[in-house]
Amino acid sequence: MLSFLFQRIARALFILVSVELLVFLLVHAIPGNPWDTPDKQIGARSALTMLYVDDLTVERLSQHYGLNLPLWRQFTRYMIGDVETDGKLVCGVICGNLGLSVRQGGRNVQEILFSPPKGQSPWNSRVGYTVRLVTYSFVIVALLGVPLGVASAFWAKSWFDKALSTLLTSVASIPIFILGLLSLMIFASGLNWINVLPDWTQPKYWIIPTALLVIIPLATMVRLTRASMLDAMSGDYIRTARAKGLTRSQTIWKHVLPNALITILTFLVPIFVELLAASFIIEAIFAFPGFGQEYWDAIRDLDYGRIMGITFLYACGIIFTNFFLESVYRLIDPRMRSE
Amino acid sequence: MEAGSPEKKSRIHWSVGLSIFIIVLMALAALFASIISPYDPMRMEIGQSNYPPAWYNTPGRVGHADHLLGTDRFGRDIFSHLLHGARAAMFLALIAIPLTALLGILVGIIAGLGNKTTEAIFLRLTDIVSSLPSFMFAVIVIFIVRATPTGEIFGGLITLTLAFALVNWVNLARLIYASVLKIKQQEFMEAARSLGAGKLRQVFKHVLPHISHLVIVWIVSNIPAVILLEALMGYIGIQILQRTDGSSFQDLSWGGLIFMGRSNLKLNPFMLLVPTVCILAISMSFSILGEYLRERTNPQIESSQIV
Repeated sequence: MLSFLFQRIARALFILVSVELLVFLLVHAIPGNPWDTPDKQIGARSALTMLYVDDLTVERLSQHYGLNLPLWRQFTRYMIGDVETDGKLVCGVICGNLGLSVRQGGRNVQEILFSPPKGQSPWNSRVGYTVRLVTYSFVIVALLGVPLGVASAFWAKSWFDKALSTLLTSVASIPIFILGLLSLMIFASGLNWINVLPDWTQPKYWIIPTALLVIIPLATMVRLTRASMLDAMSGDYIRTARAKGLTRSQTIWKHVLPNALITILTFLVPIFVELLAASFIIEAIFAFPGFGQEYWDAIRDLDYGRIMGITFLYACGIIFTNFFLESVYRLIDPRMRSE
Repeated sequence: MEAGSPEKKSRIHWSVGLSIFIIVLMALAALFASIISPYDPMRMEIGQSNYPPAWYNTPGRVGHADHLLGTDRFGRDIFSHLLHGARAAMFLALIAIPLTALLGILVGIIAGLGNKTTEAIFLRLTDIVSSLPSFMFAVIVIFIVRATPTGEIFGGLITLTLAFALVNWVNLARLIYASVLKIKQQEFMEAARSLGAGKLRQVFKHVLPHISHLVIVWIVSNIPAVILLEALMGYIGIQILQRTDGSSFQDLSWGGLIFMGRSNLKLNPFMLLVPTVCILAISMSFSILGEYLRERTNPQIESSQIV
């Protein structure tokens, strides 16, 4: 168990550093600087962001944010830390400092992401919003998808199975941003149930984004559950169980479901990743105040610190989920432990 | 059981037929876009900007019969834009998907048949790419490529192609890697190896035929993904063409139309609605077709059921 733990931690660190390095190099390969991006002219934001910044100011700002250092120095400065010109020590990601946001007046990225608006709970921070949205959806997908999949495997090839699979496939093949757009048109413009810019502290406005986020992986969840149930049903021990006199439903509850659940657990990681990626789209459509929203802005603004900070958190989330489910898997399945 | 009877299997469900019909229709529209479309989609007419669709008949805003879906604010015909957008979507489907598939197959097979080192490199690489937020990765690639001269090729579509390929090869490579590992254990592979077949012969004679169904299903069900990526970039407002002269002309695609329609929702909602419905129809058609192919090529799960 201890060697497993060490191995996983080493791998996690390796992935984190590689991801950060990759994103760092890619972001710095984008031409331009944070004060002069090609997308400045686009859209309604232009009036606010189109500042005139002359070359001298850019030079001084770059100096202040350390953007004129050689690339490798910038990377080590971000990840490990650096000594400022005035002799002050700045600690990097290893101390939990996710860097400075160039575009937001030099605020710390962790402050932008983790600190809630004044007088509200920490759950109302950028990260808190996204974590809540994704967790709600994930739980709903699991609680809805597994029973539906079990039911459609139990009554395989019945009208229920066929209707469910047709319904889910057709809904899931509708692109998510089109669903979002249509729901905005129907519920916001048409029926006036929600505001286009709602107050996100009220639960009723969460219904539509969460529902949309649930729809995306639900069909996959049901299909995989059904497939793994049917797969478990074809084992020889099932035939033995039936032969010794158990009824069909007894066999399914006692022998098929526990075995199928092990397979189902392995599907949860990709589904969580899918949810997290889709939450970026949902947040962009509904102007949801999570960190996905922050990410689109950061990339358009070429805000190096914010992009890398959010990438770091995202990768951490995925690695942690992976690790958690793998540990659960080892706990449940004795075959995994012996290896 | 009745499900196994041959005549029931050979009949194609009406939804699959309809999907094929829609796909063929779009292919034809894309192929003959320049012949069918009434105007050059880039031609601007100063006096004819912001026409409503032809069926509008409210006081003050009356549609013009010669512009079926109206015009944008530069007086360009939207219907022509839509038809040329089908061409862009088709182009993406024909270029981006094979490129991604090639990349995925190549990496998957090399990792599956290679030694321990290549396998380890492959596994860490997939770990890294799947820990990146995929849409962000795509946007960053778009930003890099569109600033280079390469970004101008095919009206910016090459940019999207690269972004899609770099993000999505991982899924296919993983799929193929897993099945190559399974194939490697089989007796016929052992026989081929012991008869002295080289790696290349193993790949072309034994591995590729066994993964072809996976690849076909992957291709069909991922064609909507690339069209969607393009449209999503249009919707979010990420431009795939960089114009240094300050004009923000979009490329001729559905994403470009959605990008324009998004800010003209009051003036002409059909600018957004029509390309959206087109994308919806296309992506549903391809996923129905993909589902059908998946069922046809992988029948063993259904048949081996005991309880």
